[in-house]
Amino acid sequence: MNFSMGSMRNSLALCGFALVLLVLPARGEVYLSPEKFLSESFGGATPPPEFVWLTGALAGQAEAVLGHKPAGLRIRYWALGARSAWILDEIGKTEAITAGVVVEDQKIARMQVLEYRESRGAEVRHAFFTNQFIGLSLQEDTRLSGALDGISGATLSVRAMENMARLALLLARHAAAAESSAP
Amino acid sequence: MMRWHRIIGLSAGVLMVVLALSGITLTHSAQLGLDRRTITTPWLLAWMGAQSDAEIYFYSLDAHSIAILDDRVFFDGDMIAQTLEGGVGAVKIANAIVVAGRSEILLLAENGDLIERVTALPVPITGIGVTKNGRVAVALTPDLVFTSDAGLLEWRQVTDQPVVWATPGLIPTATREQILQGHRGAGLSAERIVLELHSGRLFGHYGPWLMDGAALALLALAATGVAGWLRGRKRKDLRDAP
Repeated sequence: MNFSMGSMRNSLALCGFALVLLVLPARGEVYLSPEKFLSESFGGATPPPEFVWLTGALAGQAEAVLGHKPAGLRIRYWALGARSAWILDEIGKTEAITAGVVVEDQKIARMQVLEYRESRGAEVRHAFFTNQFIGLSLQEDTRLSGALDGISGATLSVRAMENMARLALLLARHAAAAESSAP
Repeated sequence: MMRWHRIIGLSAGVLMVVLALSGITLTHSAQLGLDRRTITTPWLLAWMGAQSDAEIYFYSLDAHSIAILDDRVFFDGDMIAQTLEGGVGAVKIANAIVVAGRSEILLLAENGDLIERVTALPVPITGIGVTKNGRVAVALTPDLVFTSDAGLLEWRQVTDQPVVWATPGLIPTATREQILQGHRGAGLSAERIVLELHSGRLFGHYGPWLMDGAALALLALAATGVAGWLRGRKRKDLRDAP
């Protein structure tokens, strides 16, 4: 037999090294920090944060948009004139996707994945997908005003992105109405 | 050729055995009753993230309580959050409860409903407390303390501000049992463990790739085995030739 003990030791060491590698934890990919997203969205002068409370009819509408109860009772946003920015989290398959949505005059002006934690489907972060949201608004039935081309193999992430866009438009509409009715 | 056959066999042999045995076991899992058998082995549950030896930090807040175990938060014994990294403590303020992790805060209503996960704040947090005027305070170091406005929207650094810092207390036995039960969940079936082993997921994020490698090694073994056999037959033919 010409297979030496040295070769066997090397093979076992290789296996050991592979085992060390594979127990390393997997982390989400951060594409843009919330601070940078906000700064870019407001030309470097981020306004102070405000929030909307998900209570009464708005809570029911938000639940209908997401298909489940929203995670929190209030959602933070940043607004300047007719422009507002929203940073939302939504589960794709098992992990939360963090997206930033800018709404201007009740239409989406920017949509960006800030952090992606799922193991597959991260294609939703690319501009070819997110640019489809620009210019879309919310119809009376809380659907988006235009159709989106999905990404095969990323159906749940696409749905999560769509739901976050709809929620941002819904909340922006509510925030604008609340501001206009304020004394 | 046979040298490669031996190298591949010895290098990936253990994984191939795991792959084959777990595959056979899964095929007969129903007959073996693996889908009905619950795993209670502590180290296996811990490895699967289903059990923890970590300490439970308990905070009694007037009529309610917050407990933190690993990354999980329990309100009155019921789990309300699973992903609070590095639990720091909990305090009660007017009409709300605030639970701090290392890099975020959970703002809860008095009934335990989540109001907001606050991430825009000074980090890493090492302590949480309440100031004399009822505002939330977080400490990054003993000398670096920030307090918030009532809505937890803005934070500013303060000095020489008296703060009552959150300290964990003694957890009642019944609450402890309730939390541990909630942490373990309904339990893991033996079938799930074998499935995780077969797919390689039991070994972590790169485990499935390792099992893919073992499956490819099996193919390579077949190829080198056939090639070696053909070469041996050719030699025999030459030897036997007149």
